[in-house]
Amino acid sequence: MDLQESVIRQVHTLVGWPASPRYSDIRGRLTEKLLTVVDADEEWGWDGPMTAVWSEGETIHLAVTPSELVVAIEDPEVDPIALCRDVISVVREELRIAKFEFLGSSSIRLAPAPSIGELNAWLAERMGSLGRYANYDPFGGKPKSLGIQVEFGDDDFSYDVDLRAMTASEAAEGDDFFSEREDDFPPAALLLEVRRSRLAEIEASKALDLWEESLTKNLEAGERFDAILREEP
Amino acid sequence: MTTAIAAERAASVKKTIARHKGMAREKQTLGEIDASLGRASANLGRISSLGTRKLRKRVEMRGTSGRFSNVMTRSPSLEPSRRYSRDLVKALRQVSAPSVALVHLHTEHISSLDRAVGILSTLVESEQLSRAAARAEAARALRRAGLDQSRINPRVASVAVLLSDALLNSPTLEPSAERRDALRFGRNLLVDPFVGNEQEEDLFLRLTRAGWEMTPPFDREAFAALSGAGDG
Repeated sequence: MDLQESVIRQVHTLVGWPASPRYSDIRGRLTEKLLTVVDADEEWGWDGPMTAVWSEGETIHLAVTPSELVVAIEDPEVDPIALCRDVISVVREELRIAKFEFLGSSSIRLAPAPSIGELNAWLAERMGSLGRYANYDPFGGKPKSLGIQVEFGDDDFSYDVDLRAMTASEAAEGDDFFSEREDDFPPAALLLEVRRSRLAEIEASKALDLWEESLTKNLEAGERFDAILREEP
Repeated sequence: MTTAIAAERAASVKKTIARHKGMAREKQTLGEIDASLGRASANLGRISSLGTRKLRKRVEMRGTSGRFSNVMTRSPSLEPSRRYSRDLVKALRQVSAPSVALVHLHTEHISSLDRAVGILSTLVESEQLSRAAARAEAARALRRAGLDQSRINPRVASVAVLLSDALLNSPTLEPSAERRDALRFGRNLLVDPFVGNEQEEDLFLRLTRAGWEMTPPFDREAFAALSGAGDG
């Protein structure tokens, strides 16, 4: 199968800290500061404990709770490291975070494929002997969707890699991406998501550098994995 | 253990994305309703001259409540409530039939790729292909589509840029049947669900064989001095 080179479609960061009691007192100011970071004016909302801020074109989304921050970027023109650094710094300063408990990043790539059927067959082939279940008659023959999940890890960080076949309508209707337009996605594509996370306490002053190194490694690992995927098994 | 918690956190990000999408949509709808009320009000301004002043007054009042709801959602000290957008939808529905016909809640979206394919199709089948200005317009639309497609489908982007270069760099070329065929082949690749490696190479060969120039012509005058220096 002629699998195309992939394109990074989303980078997101998730950091966690012990819940901050200051959150409700400074929520308005925090919202205003985050709006400044994404150069937005009215693009914000509060939903329960979540403060949400997004850019005008809806390609950058920030969500803060008393104990977590999510930054999701779908704009290829934006430097994810610089933007996330700014956002984490604002949140850390406003909530006076002394230590972080969780540092995570994720990159999602899409590689266009000729058709969803060929892509499923290609994935089944890469599942080795397990792949024969992909055409298992008692389940109704051909699978509707197929995916592979692999976990790697060392003492500090763990990697989770997801491979899934995806149609444009699934991409537009699902929860992986913000865009809801089918023409924003290839008709059939292989989704490659690489997550890198660390669950251990770390001083706030050291966390930012460690997180940056982690996101850089995540992006490099995704690029290497993408190259391996297009090699013959 | 770490992996399980990480997976749980990742799942919570997906949920956050889903909630975020809902909030953005809701706010967008609110903005569209405001804009629609503005349009309805403007149109009713014209209708009012026919004696429907009462109806106009009602729409103006709804418009005011729309602006008020935006003030509410802008203030960081107050939680935006879904009630406001629901009230506005309700308000819109209550506006009498003539004005409802003037309200458009959904905007039509045409992608840059669809636009470029449309312009190229018209160009290929018409006499306009011999006009430099028409070629430049198509080249510009194809370049824009190429830029947008570079983050969606890199090979479609490459085809769009290749066609754009051909139209831009062959300003004096007469459109023969072979040249039109090469452009048609490229246009068809742009609407195919997938562009394979071989098809992309095939397009390049077809364009070259038909005489389309993919790079600007060599400027002999600009390099004349250099050539002279070499001789000396």
